[in-house]
Amino acid sequence: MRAAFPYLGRGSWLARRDPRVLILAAAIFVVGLIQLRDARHLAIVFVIALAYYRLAGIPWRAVRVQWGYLLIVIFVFSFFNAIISGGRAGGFADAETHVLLRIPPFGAELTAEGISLMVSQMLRFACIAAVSFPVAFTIAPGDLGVALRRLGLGDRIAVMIDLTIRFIPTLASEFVETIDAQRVRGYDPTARRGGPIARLRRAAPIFVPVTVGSIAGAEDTIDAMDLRGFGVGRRTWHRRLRFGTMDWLVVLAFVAFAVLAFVLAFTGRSRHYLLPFLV
Amino acid sequence: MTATTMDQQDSSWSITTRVIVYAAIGAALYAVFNFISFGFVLPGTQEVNVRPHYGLLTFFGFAFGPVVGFLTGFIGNVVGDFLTGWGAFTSWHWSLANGVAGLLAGVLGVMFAGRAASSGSRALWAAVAGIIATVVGFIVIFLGLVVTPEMSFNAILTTEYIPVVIANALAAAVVTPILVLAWEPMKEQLGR
Amino acid sequence: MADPPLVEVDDLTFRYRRATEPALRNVSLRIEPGEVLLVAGPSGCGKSTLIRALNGLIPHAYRGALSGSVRVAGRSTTELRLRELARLVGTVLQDPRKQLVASTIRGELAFGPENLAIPPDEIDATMAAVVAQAGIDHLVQRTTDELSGGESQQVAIAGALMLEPRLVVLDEPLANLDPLAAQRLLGLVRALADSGTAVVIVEHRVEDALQAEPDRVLYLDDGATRYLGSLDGFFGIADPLQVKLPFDIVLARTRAIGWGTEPFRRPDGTVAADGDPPRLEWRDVEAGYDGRQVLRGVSSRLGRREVVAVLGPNGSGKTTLFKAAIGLVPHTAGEVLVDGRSIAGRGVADLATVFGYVFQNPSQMLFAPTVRDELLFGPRNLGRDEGTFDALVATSLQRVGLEDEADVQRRPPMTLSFGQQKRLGLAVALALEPRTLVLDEPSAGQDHRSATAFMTEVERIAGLESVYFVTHDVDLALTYADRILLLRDGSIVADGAPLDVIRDRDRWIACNLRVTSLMDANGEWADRTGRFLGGEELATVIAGLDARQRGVDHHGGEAST
Ligand SMILES: Nc1ncnc2c1ncn2[C@@H]1O[C@H](COP(=O)(O)OP(=O)(O)OP(=O)(O)O)[C@@H](O)[C@H]1O
Ligand SMILES: Nc1ncnc2c1ncn2[C@@H]1O[C@H](COP(=O)(O)OP(=O)(O)OP(=O)(O)O)[C@@H](O)[C@H]1O
Ligand SMILES: [Mg+2]
Ligand SMILES: [Mg+2]
Repeated sequence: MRAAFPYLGRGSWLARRDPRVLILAAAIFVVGLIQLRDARHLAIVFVIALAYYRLAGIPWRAVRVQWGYLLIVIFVFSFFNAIISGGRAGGFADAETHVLLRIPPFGAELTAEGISLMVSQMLRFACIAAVSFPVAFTIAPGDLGVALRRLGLGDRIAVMIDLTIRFIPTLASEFVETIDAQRVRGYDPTARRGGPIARLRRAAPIFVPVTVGSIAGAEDTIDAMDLRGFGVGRRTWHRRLRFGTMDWLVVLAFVAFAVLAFVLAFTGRSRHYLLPFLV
Repeated sequence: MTATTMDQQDSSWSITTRVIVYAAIGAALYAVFNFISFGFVLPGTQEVNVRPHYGLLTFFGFAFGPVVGFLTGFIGNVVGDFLTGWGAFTSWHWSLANGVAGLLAGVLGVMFAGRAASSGSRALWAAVAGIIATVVGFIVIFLGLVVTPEMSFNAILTTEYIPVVIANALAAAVVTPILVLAWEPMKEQLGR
Repeated sequence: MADPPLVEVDDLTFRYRRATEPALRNVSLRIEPGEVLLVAGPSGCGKSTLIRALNGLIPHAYRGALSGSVRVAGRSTTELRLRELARLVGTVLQDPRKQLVASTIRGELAFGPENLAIPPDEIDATMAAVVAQAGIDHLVQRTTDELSGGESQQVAIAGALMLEPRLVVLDEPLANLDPLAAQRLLGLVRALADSGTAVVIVEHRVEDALQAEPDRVLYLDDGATRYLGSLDGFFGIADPLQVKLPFDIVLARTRAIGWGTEPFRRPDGTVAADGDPPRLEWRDVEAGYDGRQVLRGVSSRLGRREVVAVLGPNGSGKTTLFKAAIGLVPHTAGEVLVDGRSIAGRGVADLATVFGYVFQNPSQMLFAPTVRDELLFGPRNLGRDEGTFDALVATSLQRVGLEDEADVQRRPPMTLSFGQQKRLGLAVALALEPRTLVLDEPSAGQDHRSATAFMTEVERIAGLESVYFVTHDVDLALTYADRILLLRDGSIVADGAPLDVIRDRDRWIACNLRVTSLMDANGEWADRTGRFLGGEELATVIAGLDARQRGVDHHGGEAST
């Protein structure tokens, strides 16, 4: 088990961009995306998002598990919503909903409207995921903090985020080590016995040592930081970032998209779309 | 006798080195536990997924204050989402909700600090704080109405808010006190 | 009179806010540029406290009652701010994983200068110089979590050097480093001193620390200065039982005071014996972590009644070897047999009743509110009979010498001292009544006395058939084991009795191991002793022998007249 952010996109076109680009792009993209309703628009955007994703050069083998998990969650999530909201959220009047089938026992309805919404919701999530992966796997280790700093975040918080990334692999291996240490004492982390309370309590042999241990260990980290002058006063960042022409172009492209999305939304051209073949 | 700058003495809102380090550890732990979850589905429900490590968030807030609580929940959830591949931009409002819950746990921790004499009663207050912080903090996820226009208020209430609050309040109520009780004696030793 | 000394400590006394006793009592010393001062002393004597006083954590981060003064470069540490002190004093702590704060090596090196708002270009320049000085060119492209323990310590030192300090203090930097890594580190320390930087190094492993050629030694005991002066003088007064000294010193001292005690006899229980199937056997075992192979076809048999030590470089697979044996790490090829039965299909918990596995870091598993619950966690998991628990707890504690600790059963485990936690870890393993004990780095983080005492106690535990242990402490392994396994790059490169294994010095060194003075002495006296003896034992034997020698000569003299 290795919990860490492998620099999968190393050397790719996006990896050569200023790390701020990847973060800005994703953020602007999301703002624009949530303006769109029409499943057809979302489908087109998804294609664009995928093209962008390909530029991150993330090898498929390395992330197929994440993608699988992601798609399943998206589906289940949107499916429940389709049943509950049954399309009402889509602004389709209840009167004209087309019921395709009723699901026992509660007689929940699966309507054409619901499914249409489900489709666009899934598309939307898939789009966001596609622009999110590069942020996770195509920003060089150690660049995240400085990138966020240059985007206006405070020095300390930027350092704190770098520190978080730094700690993850260490804590993950301590976590594994603790599981081993308890298994040797007959502890079974996969046991399914007992009620919810009992099962929650059974996390203690793992959670307590890892948590308390790392908090106790924090004393050394705090000393190590204080002793190198951290905390008081201004601070520089050694890693220099340059926002090149190409970086500007990428960001502008995303801004253009966002603007377009807003226009479509406000001129009412991107309403929820009822997939015709369902009716 | 020397008077010295002591992190723990500063206001519960100031961002000292100690706060930075505790927050980073909290966030990293929250992300890692999120990644290797001990989660299980509450018997008799489909979607109430109990995540023991949620109690870690309320503990960090309760024990180390609102700033640590917020950063643990917010950054921890963002990073955790990235680790699992579920890009944080999909669920930023969830990360925010976690952050707010941690923050509230911290505020309540400061408020309750005076009341609790024995570590036993502190553990009890920690459970209370954890539950309140969860119920209130996760109201934030109704921002989902903006993120996913497909979802109705009812949908969010029934498929997200209620299940998650039940699951997390449960985790907070059980796990937070355990961690408080384990941490109290250590705290005495590390005292500076 | 030249400019004042770099460091002046005058009559320093400090008591931590929560402590009742001072951690330092009236300590005074001077440190000149280019000098290496070795600080030694038993656990809890105040070494780290002195380090904190020198780098300013006391009084700036640790509150307490302080009297006397500490002046660095002529200015009192109470006047200076930590930020200013950072430029004067560089600090390296024991655990590298906790003091490295950046994900990349460049980030780590830049951290200090960044905090002092030094412009990037200047940082570049300093970094180039420091990287060369610390000899870590091969590391700069790596990420922090890829570094071995030794490499991390090198980077930590480099990080401290980035602020061009005039004094560098190191608090037990050698713990958990294999001897070669330790040697590199000490070489670096020496080079630093030669370039004019003053160095204060705290270390239990005095003999190893000698490689840094310390100019003076400060020996602390219970916070007070027991000795401050030259090495030779130190060897004159130091207690070989407290600190590990070079063998010739031990011998000289023994001759002087004429040791009376008999060499320690290992109880017959653990003397090698063959016959019945081996307790543990690896057959061409291969194992690793997510695809990365660590063990490359290991084959060996460990007897039922043996004390076996495994030595090897950091990352050679020592820990993995035993994790594979109890199923914590699944083997990808070959077979593991316990008492002649394959472990395939046997659970970890089941094997845990055969092997008591003691992890390197005890606090990694302590979670229960009380020591008693901690001890009973295992037995409860295995559904042992509740009726036996009181006796079980009592005996387990008694076997590890914790029974006298006041009200120990109700203490929260994590409030015990490190040494006590180490013993509790052992008791926890014993509570499952194993037949064989597996110890990972039993001596790590303990001073010489506690480490040897610990091993002696372990070997005397009744009902225990065998002990297998992993360590970086060469002498400890050679002294306490009947048999040594040398592991390198996941394969066993040597297997035999201590005296036989140490004959091939090249192979020894190729495993990142150091040739100690005790090894030389034992090699020399092998024909007389027949087995590898610990420092005190060997000294006693030799002293005894040449005493008898003199006696004989005397007799001869008389006879001739
Ligand atoms: N933060 C603290 N608060 C109270 N007492 C402390 C603190 N740190 C250390 N002590 C006590 O001060 C004494 C000296 O501790 P110190 O860590 O300096 O010893 P040491 O020589 O470094 O021991 P070791 O070799 O185990 O590291 C010990 O009795 C210890 O219990
Ligand atoms: N849980 C893990 N996940 C991934 N890799 C691991 C894990 N544990 C160990 N390794 C790697 O396997 C190799 C062997 O590790 P192991 O701990 O067995 O070596 P070791 O001989 O015990 O080293 P040391 O002397 O430092 O304890 C090392 O390169 C280490 O980085
Ligand atoms: Mg110390
Ligand atoms: Mg090891």
